[in-house]
This record gives sequence, C-alpha cells and structure tokens, in this order.
Amino acid sequence: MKLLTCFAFVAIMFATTISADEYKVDASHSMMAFKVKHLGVSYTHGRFNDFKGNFTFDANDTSKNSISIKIAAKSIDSNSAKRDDHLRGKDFFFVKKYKTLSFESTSFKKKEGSKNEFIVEGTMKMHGKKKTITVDAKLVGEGKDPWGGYRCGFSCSFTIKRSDFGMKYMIGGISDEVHITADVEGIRK
Amino acid sequence: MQLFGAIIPATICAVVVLICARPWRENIHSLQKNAYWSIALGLAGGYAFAYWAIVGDIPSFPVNLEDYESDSWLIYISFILALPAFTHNFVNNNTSKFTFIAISALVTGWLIVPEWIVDEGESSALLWYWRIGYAATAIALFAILESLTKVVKGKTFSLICFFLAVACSVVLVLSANAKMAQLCGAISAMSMAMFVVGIVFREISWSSSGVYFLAILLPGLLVNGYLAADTPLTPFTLVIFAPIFAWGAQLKAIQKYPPLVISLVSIFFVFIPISIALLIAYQYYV
Repeated sequence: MKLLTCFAFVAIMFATTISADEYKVDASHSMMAFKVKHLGVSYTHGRFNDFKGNFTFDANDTSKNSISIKIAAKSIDSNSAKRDDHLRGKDFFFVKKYKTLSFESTSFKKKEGSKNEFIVEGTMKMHGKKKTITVDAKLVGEGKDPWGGYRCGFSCSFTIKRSDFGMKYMIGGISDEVHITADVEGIRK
Repeated sequence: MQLFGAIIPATICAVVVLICARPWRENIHSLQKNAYWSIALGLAGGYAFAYWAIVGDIPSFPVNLEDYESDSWLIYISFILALPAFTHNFVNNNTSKFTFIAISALVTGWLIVPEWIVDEGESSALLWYWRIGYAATAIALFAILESLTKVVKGKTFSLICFFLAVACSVVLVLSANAKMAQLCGAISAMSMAMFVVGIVFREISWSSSGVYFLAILLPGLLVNGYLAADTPLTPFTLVIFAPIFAWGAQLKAIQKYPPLVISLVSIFFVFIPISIALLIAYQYYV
C-alpha cells in the first residue's frame, strides 16, 4: 500500500512538472494600450478598459504556450469623452457592429539567444477583419503572490496598420500605424 | 483635403450641368425645365469624387459588404438616378415620377439598410421596418421637394438644398459620423454651385432631376448615421422634413411681398425645424 501511495505521489508530481501552467488574465493589473501619431507631430494615447483572457506558459517547453485575449471595443478610453464617442462610431471601431477585438496565438516561441524574450504569432481580429501578426513579448517575472497564488506577467509590444483592418478614415491626420503595448499579468488557475 | 472634397465636387457638378444643359442655348426657354436633367448626373459625379477624396478609394461594383459599409452603395445608386432624370425628357408626368422614385427608394432601402442591426437569431422584422421606413421617407421627401420646385425659383431652391445638406452634415457630425457628415458637406457644396450657376442662368431647375439625388441620398446617409449613433431619431427626422416648412412662404400674407422677400421667408421657415434639430443633436453631443 505504501509503495502504491509513493508511486501515485511521484506520478502526480511528474504530471505537474510536464504540464504547462494555465493563467487567467488579471485585468486590474494588466493594460491594453495604444498610441497613434496625430498630425505627424505627436502621439495620442489610449487604452481599452474591459478585456479578458487566458494564457498557458511553460518556460522550458514553449510548444505548449498560448495566449488568447478578448477586448470589448466600446471600452476604448483616450481621456477625451467626445473623441471616445467618435472612436466608437462608424468612422473608426464601429462598436455597434464590431463588438470585440481579439487575439489568438498560433505559436509562442522563445527568441533566439534570449532567456526571457518571446516571439508570439497569432491572429488578430479587429473591425471585423482578421490578420496574422507578430508580437514581441518579454517575460517580466513570475512568482508567488502574498495571497498564496502564483502570478506571471509579460510585456508585449507590436505595431499594426489600421488600414489592414479596414479602418481607413483620416489616415492623413491620424497615422495608419498604431503602436500597441499589452502588459499582461496572469494568475495561475 | 476637406476643401478638396467639397470644392472639386462642386466644380464637377457645375461643369457637367453646363456641358449637358448648355443653358446659353437660344432655345433653352422652349426646352423648359427638362434641360436640367443633368443636375442629377453632375451631383452623382461630384458625389463619387467626394467619396474618393474623403474615404480614399471607390468600392468595386457590386459593393463588397465585408470591406465597405452598405452606404457605399450610394455612389452607384446616384449614377443610376440620372437615368430617370434623363427619361423625363420624353415622359414627364406624375405617374412616371412616382414609379421611378418608388422603385429607386425600395431598391436603395434594400441595399443600404445595414444587416448588422439584427443580431444573430433575431427576427429580420427590424431590418424590413427600416427598409420600408427609409423608402417611405425618400418618397415623401421627393414629393415635398418636387412640389417645391414648382413654387420656388431655381436659385432659392438651390439655397434650400444647400441649407438642408449643411443641416444634415451638422446632425451627422454631432452624432459622431464625421465621414458621412463630410459627404453631406460635399452635397451642400454642389448645391451652392447650382446656386451660383443659377445666378447666371435663371431658368435652372432641380425638378425631376437633382430632386431624385437629394431624396435618395440624404435620407440614406441619415439612416446609416442614426443606426450607427446613440443620438435620438428626432433631429434626423426634423432635418429631413425641414423643406416642407418652405411652403409657409406661400401664405397669402407673404405672397404680396417682392420675390426676394418671399425667397428669404421660405428659407427662414426651413430654418425653424433645422434649428430645433441642431439644438437637440447638440444637447446629446455635449
């Protein structure tokens, strides 16, 4: 019986070490932000306040890694209520028709020669259109939190062309290129 | 770019009208109002240019609704509307006008009312409500404007169209629809071009020509603007039916004054519903 218990314990431990950890995005400690050039002279910043997601992460076996994020388009916040109304409207995000933005990874690999940098490829859906994009992700850290949980966080950045997603209005004044920063903190499930 | 999307459409419209109508012809008076069927064509050409200048490209035909919004159909519809205007050179009675506007309004309503207003699994009754509502509005606006062309002179009518399009533009911009507001701005610029042409060529008339364009396009842009916005329906409705107030200048008490005063009064009456509409839209904007 003792031998059986010992065997079961070893089996459970082994199973734990080979499976990647699954995390739920902690939205209150994460941020989906963007900046866009205005009239070619400065950057205007904004963010989305309502989003959720999950990711799977194993530093040793990146084949198991994945990330999925879903953002409520109407939660856009550029620190100007009137501009936000316009951004929610038909000229830009058209949130009545396209309610969510999303990202689903297809690969999540370690960057060559780096310990904590990753290249994430995946499909971004915005304004009703899908496009494959590449995201630079940096593992900021991981460890136990004071409440007994385990957390892991990434800082991601990438650039898209909004015209690729059919968002073509006012490209002269508001640049086509949008720089996106996603800081994601997850709590292990 | 903003002026580019207004001045050039206005120029295109004026040039097309001048080339096709040749209002300097000696027999222009005997041709009566049918000579100005080309206002519909000029407005269509100017609108297509304005769309290209504002949006950046022209959708291919038929419009792919995965890449463009349903209101993009209005570019092609506006050109098709030149056909009934041209046909009125040969047949010009109320039956033919009603037939043309009814067909145009129903087909346009079917094409431009966006299907996204109905969520998956929901009944399509809402879609048909809007399509029929749009068609009824377009037919009513056509009837109002067409009858107005018989009582107000060409220049005054051009000015009423100008203020109507400006009002539509302001309501759209206040409801966060800047692109469609700019398109209405282009329509107002083209109306102003017709006013200028009318100063030189006094016989100019929108009857059975440009009226088709206005009756189909302005409600088309407003319906799409309303559905995409959170502004109430009242300002959109008030603006689109504002021209009916121009009839106020037909009161006997006003008709005894000189033509210029009558024209100004008819424009003033149009401003009443427009002002209320803009006040309501502004309240929701601030």
